[in-house]
Amino acid sequence: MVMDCNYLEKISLLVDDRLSPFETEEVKNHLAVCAQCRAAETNFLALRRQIKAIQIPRDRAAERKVLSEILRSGKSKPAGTTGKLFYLRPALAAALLIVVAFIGILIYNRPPQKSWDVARLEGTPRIAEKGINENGRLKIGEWLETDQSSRVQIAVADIGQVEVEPETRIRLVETRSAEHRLELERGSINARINAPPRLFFVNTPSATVIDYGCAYSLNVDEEGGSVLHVTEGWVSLALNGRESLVPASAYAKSRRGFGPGTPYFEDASGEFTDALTKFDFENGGATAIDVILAESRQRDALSLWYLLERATESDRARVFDRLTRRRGFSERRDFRPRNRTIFPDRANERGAHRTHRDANFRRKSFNYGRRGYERKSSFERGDLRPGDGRFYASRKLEYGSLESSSDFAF
Amino acid sequence: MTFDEEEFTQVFTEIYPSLCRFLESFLGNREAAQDIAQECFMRFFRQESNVVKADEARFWLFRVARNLALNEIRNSKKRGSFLGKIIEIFYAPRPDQAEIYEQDEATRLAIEMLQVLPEHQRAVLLLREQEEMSYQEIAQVLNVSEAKVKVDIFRARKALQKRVVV
Repeated sequence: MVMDCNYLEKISLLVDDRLSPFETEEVKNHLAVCAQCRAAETNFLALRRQIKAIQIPRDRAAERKVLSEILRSGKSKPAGTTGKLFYLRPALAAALLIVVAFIGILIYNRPPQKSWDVARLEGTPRIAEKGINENGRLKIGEWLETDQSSRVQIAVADIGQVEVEPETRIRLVETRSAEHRLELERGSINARINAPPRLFFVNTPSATVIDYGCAYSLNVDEEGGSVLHVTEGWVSLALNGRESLVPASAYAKSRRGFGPGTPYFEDASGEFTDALTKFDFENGGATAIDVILAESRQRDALSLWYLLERATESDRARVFDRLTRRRGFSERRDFRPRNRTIFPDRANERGAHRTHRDANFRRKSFNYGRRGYERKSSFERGDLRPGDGRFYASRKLEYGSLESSSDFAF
Repeated sequence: MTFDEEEFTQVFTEIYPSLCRFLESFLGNREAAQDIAQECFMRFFRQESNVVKADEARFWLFRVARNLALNEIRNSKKRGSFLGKIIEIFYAPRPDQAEIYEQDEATRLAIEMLQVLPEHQRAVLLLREQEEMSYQEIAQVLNVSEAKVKVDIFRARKALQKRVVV
């Protein structure tokens, strides 16, 4: 590669007559001895001629036309002080502001998304009969189905999650700020909801599951019967005014044509739960009540409490007696109150082992829970409020302090 | 200074042909060059003739022309990415454009040769060789330093050395 002569740039300046007389003399002397620079000078001058030779044919008629068009268009007035728009500027600004504010309000108040995120956990779940990849959206009215090997997780708006187990068919019925509702036709789901009570519902063929801030699993069989198992908080199973409020560690069933059955704790005996099933769904009547009363423990007062409402008049007295220990219990010690109470005014009657400290702790928990749904079960939050007979009764039953019919405040 | 119609006509008559020549040499496209030249004078007449001094009108016009031409190059590159390809496929080259250049082979070769230069070097060289502007005037038009003008002219010449028809 040939090195450029250091004078090349000066040749360019020489061509443009940009050198002083002294420099001009120096460069000219150099040109006499440097072929590269001589060639460059020749080329630079040739380039000049070539560029100057560019001839664009003139179309004078077209030029006149352009000129007349420009002159006809007229001069514009100085910007900023005249013209219609100048006077309209404040109005335009105000209108723009209103439009922006309106759009802002619309965005702020926009309804929640009418579909939920669905994340595939296993297999090939389908939404509206189309398979989804890793993620999908479940819109209102659409069915989500899982086969025997697929599972998904649904984000319930911004209040929780529902895991859909295999062999399940479920539909999004409604989603808005005051109500989020699914319909479970068959199969199993596990729900965890972190929201105020009565925001999340699941319709089943035999009952509606109403969330009170909780975690639960729900199974619906081919006949439409459902089994609800609550693991945290409280859940209600309801249909046509019949309702079973189910606490944590308890089950409740429902069947088509019968609605919600009686809740029972997960550690209840098989005979007890079988008898409850017969009573609830197979017209077991007095025979079933006999077994229930015989098999019941102190803890099964939860179930007995519902039987008070649902048993016939003659059976109701027996259930009531059983609950109030007037007869039928040989294991009296089982009904001794535990070492705590939520009724400090009765503390003295209960003996020295009941303390006001426990009562105060309970009261504080109650109040604390009212401030933050996310930290407490629905009972502790106070969603079941004093004044609701079941509130007192259920707590008294649990702590063994139910003594007479006056404690029931229906 | 405010240009009246007569003064504007004089400026137009003097500068419009050379502006068109500059733009066509710069862009290699007659139609775009004429559109831009017209746009420059339109802007000058409607707005800037109120504030631009008479002896600066030429510089102002070339400055705006160069800027609009750069915009045109950018836009045509964008168009070239998708629409231009479609047009290329479905339309034959415009015969009138080809005919125009056939009339003057030297002009066509010179304009083609200039297109190999970067835009800033092309503008500087054209203003120097075609419009015979001084380094100072070119610096004023392009709003750059004289030193940059000097370097750009040299680089442009050096780049075209081997393409020149001596």
